[in-house]
Amino acid sequence: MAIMYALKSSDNEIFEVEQKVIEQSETIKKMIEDGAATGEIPLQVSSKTLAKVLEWCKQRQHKTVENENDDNKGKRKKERDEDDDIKEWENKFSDELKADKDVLFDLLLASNYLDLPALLSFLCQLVADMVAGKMPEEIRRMFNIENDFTPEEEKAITAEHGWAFQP
Amino acid sequence: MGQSASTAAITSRRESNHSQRYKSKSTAVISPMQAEENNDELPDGASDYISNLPDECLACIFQSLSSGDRKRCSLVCRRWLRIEGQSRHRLSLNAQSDLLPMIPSLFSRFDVVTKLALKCDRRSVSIGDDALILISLKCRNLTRLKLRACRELTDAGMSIFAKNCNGLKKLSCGSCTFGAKGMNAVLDNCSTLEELSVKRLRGITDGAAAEPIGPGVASSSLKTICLKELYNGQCFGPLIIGAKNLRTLKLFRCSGDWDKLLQLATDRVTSLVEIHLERIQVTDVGLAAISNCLDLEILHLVKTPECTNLGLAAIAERCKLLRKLHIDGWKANRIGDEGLIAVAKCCPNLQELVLIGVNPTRLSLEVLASNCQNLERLALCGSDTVGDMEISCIAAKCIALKKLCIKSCPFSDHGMEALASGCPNLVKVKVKKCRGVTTEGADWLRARREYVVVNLDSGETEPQDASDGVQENGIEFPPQMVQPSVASSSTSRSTSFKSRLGLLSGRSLVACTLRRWSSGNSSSRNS
Repeated sequence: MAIMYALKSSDNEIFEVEQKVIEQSETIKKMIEDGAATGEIPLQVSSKTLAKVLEWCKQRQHKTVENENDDNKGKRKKERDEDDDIKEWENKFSDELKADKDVLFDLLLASNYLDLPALLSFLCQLVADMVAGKMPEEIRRMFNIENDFTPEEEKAITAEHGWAFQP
Repeated sequence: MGQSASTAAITSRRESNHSQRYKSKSTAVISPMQAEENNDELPDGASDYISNLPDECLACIFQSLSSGDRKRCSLVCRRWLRIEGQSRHRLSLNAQSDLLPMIPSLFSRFDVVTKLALKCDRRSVSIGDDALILISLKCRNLTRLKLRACRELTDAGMSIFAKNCNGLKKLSCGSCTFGAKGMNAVLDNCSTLEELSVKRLRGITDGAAAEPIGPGVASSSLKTICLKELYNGQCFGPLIIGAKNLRTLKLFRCSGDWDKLLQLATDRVTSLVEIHLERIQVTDVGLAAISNCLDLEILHLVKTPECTNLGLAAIAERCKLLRKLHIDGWKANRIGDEGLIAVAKCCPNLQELVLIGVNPTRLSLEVLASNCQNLERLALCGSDTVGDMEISCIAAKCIALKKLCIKSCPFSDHGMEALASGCPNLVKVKVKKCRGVTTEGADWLRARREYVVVNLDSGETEPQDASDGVQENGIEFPPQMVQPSVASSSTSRSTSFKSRLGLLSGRSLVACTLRRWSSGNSSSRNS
């Protein structure tokens, strides 16, 4: 049977997770390898965020296992269907995050803290997509960022841009 | 991915010389405190979402943005400006003379740049030596430099640059005017130079007795040399002959007789794996010399009308590892069945074969199909001999074939039918300008082979043909095959411009085709 671990969120909720699922986190993997993971593993992540993290990890785990079991026959069709499924799942996952930026950024921090490279780059891409095509003022509004430039500084940067990054 | 590198750079800087950095900055005085406070700990539901993210996450976000988006992001706030600047390794600058006063602030902002492009346009005055020297002092860690139309740069500037940036790995210059001294300075100082690409270097065309270039210390590290459109390209002889670890040699439209130089070079340099010869004066003597390179895997012979079956056979007999062969016979009919049969018999590893203006018949195609069991990609273009019989032969015997491209060949729907029942590994078929093939024929193949992408273009005009710049003759292969090289960009630009012109003036299809066939020729004249 699969080895289970208990993860404890910062608000003291316990999550029972298979070792294979949670080992995607380099941070936890190291803890397990070092033998530091006896009993509950306390994490600096809220239960709401941790649930999301685990949702992602389980989906990823599911995907890798299925790929391993694939035999070559008819793989192409199967792969295509599977890719569609994963896309659909990812789209839904992204839509939820886009709608709730608090969760999105909590998740980003958690993926960084737990060292989940795949999730991290997925989320970075998500934020990049949100930023793409927007003007600085729109970006500031979207993320509540304060404009701390003086008008002169802005002018100087814009002037630099006239020279840089020519196609 | 260079991502880890940038992360490391950011982290270390945060700890060490952060505040010192910004003192020297002239345009934007940025308080280091601003950035410092955001680095640690989890959020407590703060409304300023993104300021809680560590720098490396933000850098990671910037990495997947286009340069236009990055520009806009750096105007969001000071922290974003700083992180965007520090995570940028590539920079492309407009190299007009007025760039000079901007250099200090630009290179303080982008202070980890290792790959730099300086591009000027033909009508403007470019930066001069002072600017290049200043840049070389600001970015001593430069590994790649691309210069385009920086006509004001002289040997003196290049020499100082080469001393300051002696870690250069790749130099590419097009339409510059410095000369042999500048080039030699680079070769004498940059002992880890791996790739050198030179197109239209005006400085070395002056005078009758041209100064030799190379070998220099770089000759032993150089892996790739690419020369395009040089009147005195043979000045590079000492470099080519001395580059004992050279793997790739590309010569495009460089005047002079290259047979002798190829003979001298291949006496000593036998490490070559890839050779491209396009529109240069070379005969079977040169090809026989190339056959000394027993590790040769990739050979392009494009519009070298003096090369014949004999030369190709000489290469085939000794270069048994040949994987990719491209021949544009320019309809000279000097390379045909005989040479191809030699290739088929001696080079079992052949994976990719592109024949343009060559007339292979069933004789050679049959041997190729049965001997070269790894042949995955085949393109036949403008071959008068490739009809239904030939296509049926390919369909029946090319078991490994994945991609097939046929353009301007006299085959018909019968050939398409044959394809439907042959080539079990086929994934893509592209048919262009073959009048015998109808939409029905293509649909039929699609219906029979669900996983084969069938691309039919009976087309009158195809502007995308030239604009993709991959191959002037519109043969499409996966991007990894295409070497994004210096000179091709400008060639394709002029070609596409021409084809647009052609479209506007409404020339006939024949004229269009003819023009495209000779587009290589005209584009060099054009510029």
